[in-house]
Amino acid sequence: MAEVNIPKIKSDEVLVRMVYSGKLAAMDTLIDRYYSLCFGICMAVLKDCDDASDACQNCFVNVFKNIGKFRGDGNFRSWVLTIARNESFSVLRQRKNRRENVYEEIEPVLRNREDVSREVFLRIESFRVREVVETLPDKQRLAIKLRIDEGLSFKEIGQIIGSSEGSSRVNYHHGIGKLKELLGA
Amino acid sequence: MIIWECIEAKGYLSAGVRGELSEPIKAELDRHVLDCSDCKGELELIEKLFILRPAAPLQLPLEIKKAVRLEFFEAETSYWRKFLPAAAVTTLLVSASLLDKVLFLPDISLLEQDFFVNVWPSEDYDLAGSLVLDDFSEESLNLLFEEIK
Repeated sequence: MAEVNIPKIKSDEVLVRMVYSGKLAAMDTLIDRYYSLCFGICMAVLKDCDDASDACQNCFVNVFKNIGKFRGDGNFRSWVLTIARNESFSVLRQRKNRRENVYEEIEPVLRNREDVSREVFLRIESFRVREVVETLPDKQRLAIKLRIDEGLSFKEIGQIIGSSEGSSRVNYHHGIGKLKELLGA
Repeated sequence: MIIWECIEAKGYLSAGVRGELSEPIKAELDRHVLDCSDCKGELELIEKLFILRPAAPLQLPLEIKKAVRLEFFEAETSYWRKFLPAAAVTTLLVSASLLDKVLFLPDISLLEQDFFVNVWPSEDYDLAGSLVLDDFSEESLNLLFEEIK
């Protein structure tokens, strides 16, 4: 397989065609583009960093193993989301669902802000809010995490939680409402 | 100026926290949030959730690339592996055929058997291929030299 440099501006469809013709660099670019999103989905479903990493890895192995089955006219992002979802739920079925809080183990993403004290306050509050989110019904919890953590559209959320776009929107808003209620916000 | 209802503003809150809004929409959202305590509360809640969102381990993309390549090369190797028995049989047949040629040489002339024999080059069909041997008489060699000239 040939090693070539791929400019980042190439669309998913072009990269997939390059993968068809055996270009490893195109595969790397697609992995770089989607691993974070894929990990986020696996993490939201599995709630464990190691399990999510494994599921994410398996997801990409399956993506490229079955790349021949991917129809060029489809949406590659959507296809990756579906495989990530299936892989996560498959791991969830196979392994015992460990419910311990894992947020101390993973590296949080902190933004640079001028107001450091506000950042610290938000971080402390964030732990509390994250704990409360875990008490929500699965569909509401997933809708909130996928919307806020990964920025997915309601259509994409529906694809993952197995409901319609409208239903995932309702799950999200109900979840936010319940969170506000539980946190006394 | 766009006047937003809460339902519309709430649709932009998570994108706003993620920094994905264009400047005009962000300005409009900020203006709405300033006047709306409900949206302001929801924005703060989303900020709290977003700040500790799980990030993928740094080594994960490398591990994925490694796993994918391994899978790809394994697939390629296993594709060629199915031709191995055929290749082995062909090699055996060729070897046996060569061995047969070496061990059971047919009756051939002295000239054909000795790879290092020197033969006389000539356009004259009768002289061409004559063996150049030490025991050739001087007269015979002279004849050959004459022929070459």
